[in-house]
Amino acid sequence: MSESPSDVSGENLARGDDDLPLLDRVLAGDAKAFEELVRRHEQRVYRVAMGITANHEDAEEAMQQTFLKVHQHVSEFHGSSKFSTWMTRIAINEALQIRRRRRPNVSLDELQDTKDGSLPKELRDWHDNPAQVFEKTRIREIVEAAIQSLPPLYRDAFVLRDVEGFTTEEAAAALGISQTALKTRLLRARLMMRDALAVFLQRKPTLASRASQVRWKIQDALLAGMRRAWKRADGGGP
Amino acid sequence: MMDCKQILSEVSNYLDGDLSKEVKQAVEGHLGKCTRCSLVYSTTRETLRIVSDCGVFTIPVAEGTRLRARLKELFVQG
Ligand SMILES: [Zn+2]
Repeated sequence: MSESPSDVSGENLARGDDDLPLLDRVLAGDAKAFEELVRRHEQRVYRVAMGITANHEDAEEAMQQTFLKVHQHVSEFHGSSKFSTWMTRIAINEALQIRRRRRPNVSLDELQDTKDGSLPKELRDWHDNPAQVFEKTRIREIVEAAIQSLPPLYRDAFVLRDVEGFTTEEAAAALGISQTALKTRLLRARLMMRDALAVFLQRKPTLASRASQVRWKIQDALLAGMRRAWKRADGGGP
Repeated sequence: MMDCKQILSEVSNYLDGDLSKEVKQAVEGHLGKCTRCSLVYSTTRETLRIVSDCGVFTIPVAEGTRLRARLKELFVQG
């Protein structure tokens, strides 16, 4: 499926809010206009909702709640931000509420597990072009699974900053945390995402490094054999 | 001097261009010398590129249709 028009409107038309004419029609009670508004923004709302809830049914519910809220409160939108930003903030809140209801225990405790400074485990270079190794849909599946496996509080930071393209300031405000906290969570999230993708994308050990591993194994085996022989020669049993 | 651990704790801010001049220079100096950290940096940058290119969580067509139908229903009910 190609990108929905909402992505174009959101990122490329920073000046002027091209949702405004549609909003005027919505305010005038034009049902078709609201449907068009939903169509235009459902991709973005779904992405945020999936990113935060990591669950299909919850995302669906969050989406529905978001558009109901938008419909109820659209007259309160006064254009101090872009409409898409205003709507995305509603989507974030709806998704967070649903997640809290489902998992009341998501808390800061979860963040204690991963202390700063733990070095990434997988350290080999990656394939220059992942598209040559995996199909595009496979890459997307890998990325989605990786995002879903992040601890929720890290995931929020990652989804808003690196999937939705919020600024640090916008993301921190939307999540109700300090910018410092946002940056710390984003760092952890990015390194965890890197680790998760590394499993798939890093190069296989080179022939040279494999050859040297084999050499070491042969030497180890020879040494072990020699030790056994020495032991026997010493008369120290089997 | 910043060690590997300190450098890696700035990787994310470095990617965002969100560092003071001094720290930025320290990070760049270190990345120039340390293969390990520079590999973490380049693959983290690659991670972000892949994420933004792959069209993550694309709404299934049926899902959009269902949503719009459901909303219409709700509005008709009042
Ligand atoms: Zn280093």
